[in-house]
Amino acid sequence: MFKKILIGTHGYFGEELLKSAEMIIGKIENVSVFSLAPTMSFEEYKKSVEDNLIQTNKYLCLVDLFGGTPCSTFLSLSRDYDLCVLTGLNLPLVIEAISMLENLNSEDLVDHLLEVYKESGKNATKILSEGR
Amino acid sequence: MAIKLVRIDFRLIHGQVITKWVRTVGANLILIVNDDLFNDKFMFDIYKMSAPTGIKVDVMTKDAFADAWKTNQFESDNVMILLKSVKDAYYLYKQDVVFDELQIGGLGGGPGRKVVFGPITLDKTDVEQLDEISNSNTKVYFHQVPEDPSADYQKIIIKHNF
Repeated sequence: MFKKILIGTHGYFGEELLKSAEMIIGKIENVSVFSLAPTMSFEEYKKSVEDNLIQTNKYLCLVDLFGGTPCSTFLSLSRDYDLCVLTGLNLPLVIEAISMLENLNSEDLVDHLLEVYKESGKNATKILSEGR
Repeated sequence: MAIKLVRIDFRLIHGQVITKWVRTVGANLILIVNDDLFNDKFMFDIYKMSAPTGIKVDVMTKDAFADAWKTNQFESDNVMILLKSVKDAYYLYKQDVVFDELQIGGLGGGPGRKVVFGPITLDKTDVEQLDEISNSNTKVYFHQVPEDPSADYQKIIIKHNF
């Protein structure tokens, strides 16, 4: 099971996203957010994350952009820590990850979240017009 | 030599590079010139998978690059070269690697570093080395992302006291 969720984003997207999630599911625990400021180097950002990691814990890392600095940073830390990195962070994903964190083992949670991704992008206008 | 862009960027391959620059300049190879990365296969693999599909990624040491430059080894590719620091660009310059243009795209904060253009910073040594490079035949300029304006190095430096 994942012990904690780590969110990493360009700028303060992650912090605001967490506030948005709290509007929907209430007070959130077990989540840490790491915002990459424009002048922050890869090394500085990495240190800000690593200072909060414990080797015996397993972490679920949700980042915004595949190939971006938050993504590369978490991947680089997976050399020394038990991390699983998922990209394409969005609100449905955060809500689901937090809600199911203590209910599913890590492998099942990741599979479940990948399904949530697919389900979160819909043409709502088309669905409405088709009368569903 | 089909070099499409030479960029100094302390984050190497990252969001701005993968979403914007590679496409804008039409590169099919991102060549990172960095000694540490050359010796760190794990980190190199991370950068390599970060590049857009269809874009090759390679890494060379500074010395190997200087040799390759002299023997014109990049003809078959459209290359985007990434350097991590001004120091590395200056090292190459001293090895007679003189680029037509040198883009300063990202340099982060730190002690003694001054913000000069957007979030890009320079320190005294950077300025000394860039002065020398820009006084040769290299056009040095600041440019973060294609949509934002760029700025000539000399014009920006005049505004700041180093």
